[in-house]
Amino acid sequence: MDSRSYLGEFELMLLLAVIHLGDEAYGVPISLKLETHRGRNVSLGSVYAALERLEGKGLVVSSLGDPTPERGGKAKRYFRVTKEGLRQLHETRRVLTQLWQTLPRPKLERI
Amino acid sequence: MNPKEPPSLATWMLLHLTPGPRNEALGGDLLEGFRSGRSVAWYWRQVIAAISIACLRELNDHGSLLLFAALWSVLAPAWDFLIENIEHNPTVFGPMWNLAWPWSTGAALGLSLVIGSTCIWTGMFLYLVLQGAITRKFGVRHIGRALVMSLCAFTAVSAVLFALPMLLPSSAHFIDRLSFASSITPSGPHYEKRPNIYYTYRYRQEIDKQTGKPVIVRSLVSRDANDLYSDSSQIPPATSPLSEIKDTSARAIVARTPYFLSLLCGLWGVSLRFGNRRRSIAT
Repeated sequence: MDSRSYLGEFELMLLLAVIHLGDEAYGVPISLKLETHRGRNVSLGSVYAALERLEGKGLVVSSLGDPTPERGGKAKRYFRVTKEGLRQLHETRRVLTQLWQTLPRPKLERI
Repeated sequence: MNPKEPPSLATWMLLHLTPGPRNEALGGDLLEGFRSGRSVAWYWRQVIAAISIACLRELNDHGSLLLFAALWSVLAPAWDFLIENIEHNPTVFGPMWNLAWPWSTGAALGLSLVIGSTCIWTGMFLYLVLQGAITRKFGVRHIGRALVMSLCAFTAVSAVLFALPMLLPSSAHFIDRLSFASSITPSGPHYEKRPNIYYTYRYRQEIDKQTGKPVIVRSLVSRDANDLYSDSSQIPPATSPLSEIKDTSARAIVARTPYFLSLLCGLWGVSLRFGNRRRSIAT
């Protein structure tokens, strides 16, 4: 894979949320975590679409859990970040950190 | 309504209008979210967003197919033109046109179906070759299903387009050449019963007496060159296959519709199969 293909904002957040949630990384907790940190509603459809895109790139893998009655007998789909996904996260952080260092401080105006 | 149950219509839409393997997990997630205190409006918003995203993704995944079907259906009138020239050759198809009703109608419809299917299947084959799909591993039954799907779609769309003008009171639609000739000639029935009459279209340019402008007149002529019917409704002359391809009139667009839709119906499932393979889930 091309190491120069950096992650987008939403993809980056998704991967970090999946890592934070560990073994409990499925649709509902992932979207809740994103909503908490972004401060706005997140569509579960867009979460799945982005995760499937990441799965296509080999950055995450998914597996189905057992069906549960509280979910109407529907299984959870768990996601896990792959080694390649982790590598891309570190690479993106490295690039972003370098860029952040050149950010000028805003001048504070006196009242 | 039971407050712990989400709107059944929304759930049905989610299950049936979002393709792909994520339906089950997404449906379960939405149900879990709803039962944990989310509102009905939230559920509807989530379902509509999921369907919209899925539809856009489907179109994106099948972009090459949409483009190919559009391009191939542009060529379809040229194919019709070439075949029509052969079709009007009395030595080839003459005996078929002189069959008694309903055999003549059945033969005409059957011939149209065969001709149309040949064009569509050629396009499908070309698309699959271009995509490299034939070199990949997929069952022959998928190709068979694609062929059958396209044939069904072509028959259905053609039947609808054939039947629609009949609903109009001023329609001059005809089923086959014999019934057409008998219905519009004033001398009527004796033509119908005369054997070995071959009909063909002839185009010629005339000056319209009212407007003084040149118009194209289409005539249905018999073998002895007697005009049976003239139609001066500004029909563009079909001079060459290229002029048919360039034709962007409403008539030409309607003629292309069955080809476009049949190619999509036939190849959509095959293309989707590749998409699903890409999105396979480890269980």
